[in-house]
Amino acid sequence: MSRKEPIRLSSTQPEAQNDPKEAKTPALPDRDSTAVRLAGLLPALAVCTSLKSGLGMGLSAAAVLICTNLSVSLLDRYIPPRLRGVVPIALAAVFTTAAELLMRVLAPSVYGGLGIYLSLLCVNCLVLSHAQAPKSPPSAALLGGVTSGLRFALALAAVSAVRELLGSGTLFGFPLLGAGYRPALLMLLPPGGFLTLGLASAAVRRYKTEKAGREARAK
Amino acid sequence: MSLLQLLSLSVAAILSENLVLVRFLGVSPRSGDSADTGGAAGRGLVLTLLMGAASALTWALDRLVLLPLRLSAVRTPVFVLAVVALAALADRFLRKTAAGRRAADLPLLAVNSAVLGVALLNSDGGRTFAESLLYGVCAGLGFTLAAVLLESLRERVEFSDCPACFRGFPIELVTAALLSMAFMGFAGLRIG
Repeated sequence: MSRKEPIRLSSTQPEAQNDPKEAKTPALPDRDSTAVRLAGLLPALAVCTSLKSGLGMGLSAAAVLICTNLSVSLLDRYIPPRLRGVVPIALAAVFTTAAELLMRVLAPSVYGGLGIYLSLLCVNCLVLSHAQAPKSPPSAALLGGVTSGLRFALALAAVSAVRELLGSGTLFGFPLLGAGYRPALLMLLPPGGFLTLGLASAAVRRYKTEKAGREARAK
Repeated sequence: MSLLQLLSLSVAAILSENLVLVRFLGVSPRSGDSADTGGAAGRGLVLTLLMGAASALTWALDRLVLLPLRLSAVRTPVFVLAVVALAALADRFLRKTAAGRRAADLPLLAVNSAVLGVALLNSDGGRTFAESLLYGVCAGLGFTLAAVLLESLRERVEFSDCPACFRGFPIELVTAALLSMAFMGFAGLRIG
């Protein structure tokens, strides 16, 4: 794996830097690169200290991603080129607000724990990089949103499950590790979030390279 | 609001509630040209200015428009659009002056979760104008501090021999975890 490429998110695409009109719009890196996915997970990590809030956050993020993706794809024809950078952000903000209000009504206990991080979904780099990607037909946009959103929710749920299990010895509030387990408070604190995601992404990469190696040998 | 309380708010914003390391804000889109510590510092300072201005603007919107009209539910879109407009304005202004190179990043900084996060935290905390402005600027300084620290750590890690599967983002996250653990030590720090 080349070192430079996945590490840094190139902020502005090369052509966008030269064209003054394009430079006005926040250009985001390729959608769905591993770096964008990981960077998108980060702001959500703050609230992922229990499986319940992790699932709540993940599912809201998936819903916002799907709705934004679909609506940008449907409205694409009517958006004037000058506003192409702003409209996706505005749409994401509107759907985020809708998600906030829905969560407040449907799951007030989860909503209370998410705080500002639910509102911050609208500037999540995964959501925006999807919304600003080159346009695709609605069906493809929907499919892309669903896969990527569910993957995001799954990753958040996995990280929160690990943190809740190690940090308080419970899962969904049920004690699993027995009375003798001494909870590792560190996992619930911010360092635990960084650590869990770092180790998990390394494990996933290891698994992928080994799988690729096995397939190459099989051929 | 006494001076001591303001001091305590700024210490909290810079250290014990550091945006990047404690609140997980502003880590997303890493810009390519912040590949050195100087770049990270410059970018952080531009963000600090933007955050100060955005705190003042969103405070005014929140207190003078949204609260009287009972429209607090739609504060997210309002704040986002305000920040994007502010960044576009600053971009146009800065492009004409000498500081052009850093300014190229401004529109991207507008969608940085740190800027919106600070606006939302100010609104949630019910802070006064002076407090909001101070919090915005100090949170920006805290962001700059964390960005410079992380960048210099990353430079050291780049030359070390870490396992292939940790290269890049994973090792950066683990580094951030260690630094964040160090910042946890500031948690009890209180002045006044």
